[in-house]
Amino acid sequence: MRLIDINFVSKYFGSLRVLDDVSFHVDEGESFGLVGESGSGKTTLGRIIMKLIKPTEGEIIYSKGFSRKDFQIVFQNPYTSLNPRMNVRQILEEPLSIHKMKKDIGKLLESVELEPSYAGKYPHELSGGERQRIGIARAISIEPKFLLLDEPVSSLDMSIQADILKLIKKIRASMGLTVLLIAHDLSVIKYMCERVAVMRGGRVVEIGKIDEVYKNPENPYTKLLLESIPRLPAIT
Amino acid sequence: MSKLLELKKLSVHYQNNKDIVKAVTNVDMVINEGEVVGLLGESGCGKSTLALSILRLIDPPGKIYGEILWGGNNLLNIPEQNMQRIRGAEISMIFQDPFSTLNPVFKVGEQIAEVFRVHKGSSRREAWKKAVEIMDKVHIKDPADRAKDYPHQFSGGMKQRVAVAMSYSLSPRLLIADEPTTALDVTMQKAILEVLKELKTTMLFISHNIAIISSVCDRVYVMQAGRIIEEGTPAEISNDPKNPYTAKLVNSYKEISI
Amino acid sequence: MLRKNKLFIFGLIILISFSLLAVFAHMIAPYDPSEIMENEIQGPSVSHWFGTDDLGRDILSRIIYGGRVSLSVAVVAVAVALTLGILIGSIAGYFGGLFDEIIMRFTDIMLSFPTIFLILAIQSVLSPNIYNVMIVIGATSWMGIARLVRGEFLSLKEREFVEAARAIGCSDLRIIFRHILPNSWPPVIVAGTLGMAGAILTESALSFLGLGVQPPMPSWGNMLMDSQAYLIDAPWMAVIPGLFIVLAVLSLYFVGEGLRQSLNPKEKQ
Repeated sequence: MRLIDINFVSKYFGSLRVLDDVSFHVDEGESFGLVGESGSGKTTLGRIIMKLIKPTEGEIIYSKGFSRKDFQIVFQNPYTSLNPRMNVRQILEEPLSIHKMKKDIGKLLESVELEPSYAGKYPHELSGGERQRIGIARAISIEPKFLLLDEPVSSLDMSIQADILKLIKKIRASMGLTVLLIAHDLSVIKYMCERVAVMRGGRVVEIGKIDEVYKNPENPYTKLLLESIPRLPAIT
Repeated sequence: MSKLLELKKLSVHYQNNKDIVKAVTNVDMVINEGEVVGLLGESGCGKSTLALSILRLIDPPGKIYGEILWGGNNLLNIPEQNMQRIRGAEISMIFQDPFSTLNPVFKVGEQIAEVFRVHKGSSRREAWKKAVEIMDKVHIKDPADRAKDYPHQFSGGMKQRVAVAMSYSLSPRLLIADEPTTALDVTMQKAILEVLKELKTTMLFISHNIAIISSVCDRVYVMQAGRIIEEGTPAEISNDPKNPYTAKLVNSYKEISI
Repeated sequence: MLRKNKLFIFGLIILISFSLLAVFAHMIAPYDPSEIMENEIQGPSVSHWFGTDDLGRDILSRIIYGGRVSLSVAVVAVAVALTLGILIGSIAGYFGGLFDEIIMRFTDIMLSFPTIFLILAIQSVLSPNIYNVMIVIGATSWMGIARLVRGEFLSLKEREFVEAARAIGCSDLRIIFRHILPNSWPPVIVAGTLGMAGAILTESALSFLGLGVQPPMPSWGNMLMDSQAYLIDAPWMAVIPGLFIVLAVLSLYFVGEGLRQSLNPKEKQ
């Protein structure tokens, strides 16, 4: 069952072409990865899916309709995606009040593995990982169907990345979310996703199931990406 | 192998009214000639502060304690004039952010040439020629033409190559690379690492990524909260970490890696 | 950090003292400011600390009541300017496009008018009193604030937390008032203190020219007007109001500068 159909989407900023005829679909309940380097257009595509930017050409069809309640996003930079003048409670209560829902803030914090006492804190009192957990809590508070994660762990230390990714996996399983994960790190994509689209220069150059793409990449760019991953030294 | 740089009980403290922030505490480190030594640590552990202190680039209210032995002299005791001669010429640094290393209003060739004019007193023509040579050495295509371009005409990876070129231009004996690939895409990362390996300069390579460090370094120091908590070869650190924090770093990487 | 700034502390003390004098004028002033006593043009003495003026009125009491005038004009004028400036600047900055163009051209036009002449022209048509002085000053000094606020909005609306607010479904109004405005206070507060300094100077100038606060209500400006004929015989009549104007304006500058310095490094994360 397709949830989102991206049809021939192109985006120009002035004369700069950022997306070129992109088409693929995301199934309901799946975890889909969008991988590419800077300039690949993946972030712009994410914004278009979230209706934060309009496409220049093409359209996106949402089989079950689109609403801000059902489609939520977690941003890359935990330092800039939270309003510095609002405390945690205010940040989490805002989407709830907009969509007329009531939730216990303490329980919501616990669901992202934070103590309820964090409710009174301000973003500058929190670490990067903690802020990102708040970002996740904000997004899932209104029980969306679809979650877009735009490089959710690239700004975080490696030791915390694993924790946050595990949290996202847990939440996805318990809430039955459809997830679109945007990242430049192939390892992160493999850890989280079932299917992947590789983007370069605004185009999708390869798409398929993770295992197949990673084991038998067809596109030379995909091969280059896979080769560029630094590895730990083998056991001697 | 001869010792090139030795840090003895190096500490950097910042005094702010009543608080003292201990960014670096009692670090002992040895870098031998020809080695690539890694400094592994996460954000806030003090690794960049440590790098800056080697070049005595710590501003007040920061103060450096301990010894930085370079060629038998303690760098903390020599006059600033001498230190300026060492910076760039004997010990050079590459920073994480290639965008801010370069001045946007000057041609790239000019910026590299300046290094030669200032340190070696070369003429404009000589300096420019040297600049083009160095750009070629770091594999920038058509270096003679590219030298006339401005920073904004280069991609991030290219800019970092230029930064490497600048810091390598005077053939320093020690190159300190502070997270040189962190701001770059993964394909450019590989290219920069290869450029650095080719230079065959003694290097202190700082990173938070254990795999990158392992691919470049002969020995690794692990840093946490201002202290060195473990030391070993990349294989030792990855396969048999002694400190629980090191183990955590290794495991976090292994969990997500392919 | 604010505590270390001596000028800031000095300015703050002066402002607080002046404000207290203004609020409690009726309790602190030794005489009624319009009370005409016998001893005209007396220099400072024990019974009249600042002396008396040409009509035998106690200068100290007039200064205190005059302070009330000057400060209230400053506060109300700036309040008017801030309200207009924030409204206009936020709409221009947030919505951009045609709105922004039209509004900013209008602002540019207003800025090109030599304000003092505009005020003089308006005041000579109206019958000047303290109330229209407040409004006229406010209505001719909102432009700088509008520009400032617009600038803040232009940069803040691109910030990720604003995008995040949009993503969770915030309306434009909510984004403006809940997210962007609270993050644009610092430069606006500083502009406000400078605006108050300017308002005091402008009111003094107007009153000096007879187009501001009318006698017998004292204002530091019209006290200067009265003192003109007596510069040689009774210099204190001019020096003292002048000194108070300078002190008030300086204090506002010091406080504004101190605030600007302390509100800046907050964003450094």
